[in-house]
Amino acid sequence: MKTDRWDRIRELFEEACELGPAERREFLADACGDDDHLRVEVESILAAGEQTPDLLDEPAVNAFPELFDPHRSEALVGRRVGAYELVKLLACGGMGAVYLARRADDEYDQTVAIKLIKHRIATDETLRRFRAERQTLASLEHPNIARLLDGGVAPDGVPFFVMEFVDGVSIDRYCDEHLLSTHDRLRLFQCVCSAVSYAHQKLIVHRDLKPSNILVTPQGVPKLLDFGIAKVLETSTNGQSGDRTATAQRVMTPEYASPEQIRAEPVTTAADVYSLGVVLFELLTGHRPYRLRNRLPHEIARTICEQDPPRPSTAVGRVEEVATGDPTTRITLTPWSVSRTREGRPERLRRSLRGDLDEIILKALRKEPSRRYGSVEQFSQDIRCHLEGLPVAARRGSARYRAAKFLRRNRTRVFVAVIVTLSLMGGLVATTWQGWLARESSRKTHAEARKVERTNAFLTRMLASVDPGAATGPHGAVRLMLDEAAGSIEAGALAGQPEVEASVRTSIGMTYLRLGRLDEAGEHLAMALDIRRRVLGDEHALVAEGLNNMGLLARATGDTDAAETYYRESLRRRRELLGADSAEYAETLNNLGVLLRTTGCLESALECLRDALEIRHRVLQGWERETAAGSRVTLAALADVATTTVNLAAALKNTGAFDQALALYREAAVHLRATLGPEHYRVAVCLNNQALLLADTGRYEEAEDLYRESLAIRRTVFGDEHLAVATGLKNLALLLTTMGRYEEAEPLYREALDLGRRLPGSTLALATTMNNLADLLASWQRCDEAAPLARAALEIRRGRDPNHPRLASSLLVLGRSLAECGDAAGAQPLLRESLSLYGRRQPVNHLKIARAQSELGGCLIDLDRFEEAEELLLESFSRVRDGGVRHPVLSRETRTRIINLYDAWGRPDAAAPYLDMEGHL
Amino acid sequence: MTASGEVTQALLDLDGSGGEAAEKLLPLVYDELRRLADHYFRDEPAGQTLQPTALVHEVYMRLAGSSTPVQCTSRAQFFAVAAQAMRHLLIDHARRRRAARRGGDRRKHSLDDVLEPATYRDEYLVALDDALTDLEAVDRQLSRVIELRFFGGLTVEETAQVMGVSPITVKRRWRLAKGWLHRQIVQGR
Repeated sequence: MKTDRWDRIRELFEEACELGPAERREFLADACGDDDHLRVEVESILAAGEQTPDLLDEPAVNAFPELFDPHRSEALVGRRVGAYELVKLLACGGMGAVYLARRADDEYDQTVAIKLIKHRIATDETLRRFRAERQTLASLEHPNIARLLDGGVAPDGVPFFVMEFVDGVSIDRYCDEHLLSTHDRLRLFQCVCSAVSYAHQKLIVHRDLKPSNILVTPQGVPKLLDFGIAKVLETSTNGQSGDRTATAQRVMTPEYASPEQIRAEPVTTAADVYSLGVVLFELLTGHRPYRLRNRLPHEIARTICEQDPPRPSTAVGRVEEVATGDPTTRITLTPWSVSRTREGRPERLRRSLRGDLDEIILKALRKEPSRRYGSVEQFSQDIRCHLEGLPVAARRGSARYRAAKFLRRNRTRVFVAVIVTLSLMGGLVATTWQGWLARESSRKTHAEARKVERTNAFLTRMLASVDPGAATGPHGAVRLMLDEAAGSIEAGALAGQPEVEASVRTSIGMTYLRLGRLDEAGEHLAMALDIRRRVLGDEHALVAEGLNNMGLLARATGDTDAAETYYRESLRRRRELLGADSAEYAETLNNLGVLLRTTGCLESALECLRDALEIRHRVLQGWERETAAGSRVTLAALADVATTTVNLAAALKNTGAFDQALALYREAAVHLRATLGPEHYRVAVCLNNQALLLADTGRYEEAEDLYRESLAIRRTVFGDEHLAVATGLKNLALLLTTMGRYEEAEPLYREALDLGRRLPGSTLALATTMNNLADLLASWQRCDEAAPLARAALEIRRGRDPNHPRLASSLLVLGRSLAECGDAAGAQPLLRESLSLYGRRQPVNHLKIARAQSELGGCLIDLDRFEEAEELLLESFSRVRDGGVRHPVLSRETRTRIINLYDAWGRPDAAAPYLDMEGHL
Repeated sequence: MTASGEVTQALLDLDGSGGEAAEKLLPLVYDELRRLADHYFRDEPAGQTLQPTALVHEVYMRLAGSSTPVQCTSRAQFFAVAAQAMRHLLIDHARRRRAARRGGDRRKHSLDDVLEPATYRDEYLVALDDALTDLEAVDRQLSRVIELRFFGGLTVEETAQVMGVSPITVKRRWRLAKGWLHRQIVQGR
């Protein structure tokens, strides 16, 4: 079209526009003359311009409401996608729209959710990647993750996902509607964490966690939507272009996106930790950590990547206006409004968040991924710790917090652990923890008191650095505490305070000693003694304490000579410096007595222990006069009395003064019950020792009662899963075996055996149980079961110590098992070795020797060595009968063997007296 | 150079040479518009009517707002470019939906196609785009008025400012362009 002609058309058109319809026609006819073409041209443009409706009158964007208003975007309802028909628009997200869909091929009735993605897939390569990712996602099977059922690309290149349809509301709405407390919200959130953690294990990162992606069903089950889909889209719709930022911004929701996502840096599981942190922040406070003033990229980046989030407990105090689902209303969040659906009142809500939860959430929201929780699992674990009152990792930095928390929870536990350990490792010897506490707190001078105070403060700090989650059981915690404490001393924590250092090293060393870690114990105890000698001079009460402790250590390492020297050195100083009536002197005297008992110097042992007991009684009386009844020092002194009483009882037992021993055990049990309460492990041990003594003296029925009582306490104190329970079971079973009640004994052994096999660190105790059970089974001629158990027990003991004191017992049981099976030749050398070991043992145990003689004698009958058998059997028989020890089972067995012997030998006359003996054993 | 830096540079170029710079700017603005549309698609609550001017303004802010101040003329020209980008965006969207409707599901939906308002609208927009391209060849100024007002969502006054003419002229050109396009659409079919 020529320009001047178009200019003419324009002129005419513009002029005609100013005129009415009738005038126009006239005007144009006039103006165009005979150029009909020109006239028609202008007239047709004018006519077209009058057309109604005129779509141009409204801006074009209004023609695409679905681009800007998700709620009118129902254009696709009724369309078919794959095997499904879209029924209803459910929601619109950053990536596309979600429809409720139904299976359209009538195969079966199935309602699903279908997500249509806005971005088309362009190349084969991206399609391949899309399919691969979809495969991975389909492998996610978790009760809290909405399953991905199918996925594909529609013919127009639109990718879609078919997902399990979740009938639920977003988690924030659910919590508000159900007025869930902070506690309940945390529990629900933990379910979410478990789902995310599960996916992370499968190396799938969600990348777009937000409340609208976490639905909660009417049954209260949270379900995560869109797992990993953000990643699929990134890799498949944006394959070749370098425009990562654009994609990242497109896919994520800025309020929940981590700084690294905003910066389009590589995304790891840490991004999900962050997003979960935002979600939890919002669930607990009703506020988001950040409010974006607008969506300019630099504003988003500045806020998310640089601004520090407020503490949740502070955020609940904010007043702010926020948008809602309904555009006509904005609601104002106030402390009251957010509290109403949570804890009820602002102060309560603030209190529920302050401290742990503040720190937990802020840790999840750290800008640097490496400073957040290492995993969602750890995040959730810390929430669990908070819920259970354990220290949370997020607050690890604060020593005072950990000290407070650990002690609040573990004061009793640590205490009990040390006492128990003491009983287990050191026998009933030495200073008790209580004694230590009592002594420390009763120091006379002010300066001393201050030193002790500082010592305790230090120990408290160290206790606080223990992570109870990291170590199982009280021993583990104590061990950790010690290692921590030792480490910080080595690092110079107490440099320049030698006396405090010595004191702390003493505590650490003593506890190591109780735990059986002798090398560490030696290191600290020796160091403590050196320091004290250097600082205080050789003649000092604290040096005496150090010597006493070194004695305990030497005894534990088996160096009895050194132990005696240390004790005597200590004893002299304590007597001279503190007096022969001091608690300290009695302590060392007690220790020396115990040492002498084990080295066989029974008379000296008795003397020491009697003196010690007397002094301790006087100390106790002193405290009883000076302090209120039941004061801590009184109880500690009473515990000391009980300890020495038990030790003296054991020594008396060794000398054969059973009745005196028994009386002392009874007394000790009373003291222990008074100091420690009726249900305490030490009470159980004392009852046990008493029962042992009763059984040795043939008072089986009384022994049985005490064993049962001891077992009951063990179960109460430790629960059913503990070695101490196994020991109780084993002891009772042994007694029942001795009483011939095999049927009752076997299940007890079996339970002990199971426990021993399940629990670590119990090999030797396990050997005892195996051995005893084998013995029992052999009595029933169940040799096939008995022999392997006995052999296993023997192996364990030999492996541990070629001179193990219980090898004799193992050899006896194994020999007996073989003999019962008819392998007398195999049994004979084992039984001989056993007898020889028993014969050499001090003090002499007649029962054991008698038993070994009886077994060997029985075995020799089968080998036709009658003379030797006769000698052994008769000696065994008289040893039991004349030894004043009642053992009906053994006596009966030996008698039977004697009768068998004379029968095999062809001397029925010799058997006659034994045949008449029925009923007299 | 950062995205917004590029835009600023392109806008500065626009003052001098025009056409070439606009071509550089277009894809950037287009991307930004898409992103923005996605954002509204995602987050804006129900029933919120979007002002196209606001949209374009925001694009402008996002692309150029932070750095070098841009002179008034280039600002005006920016709107021209933005409107053009908007045209591409919306038409592209309409074409895709139209293509999708004509794809695999033809059998099921063929009967309803004509009656559905969305279908009509998409058909109309695609036709309009074709006609507008024709109009550009005839009269660039007329097509620009359509772009600025219809696609860019600018008011008569804003359009006048951007084009550097009086509002009356804008109204006249608008009327003519509309008539021309509608005739073209009707005739073209």
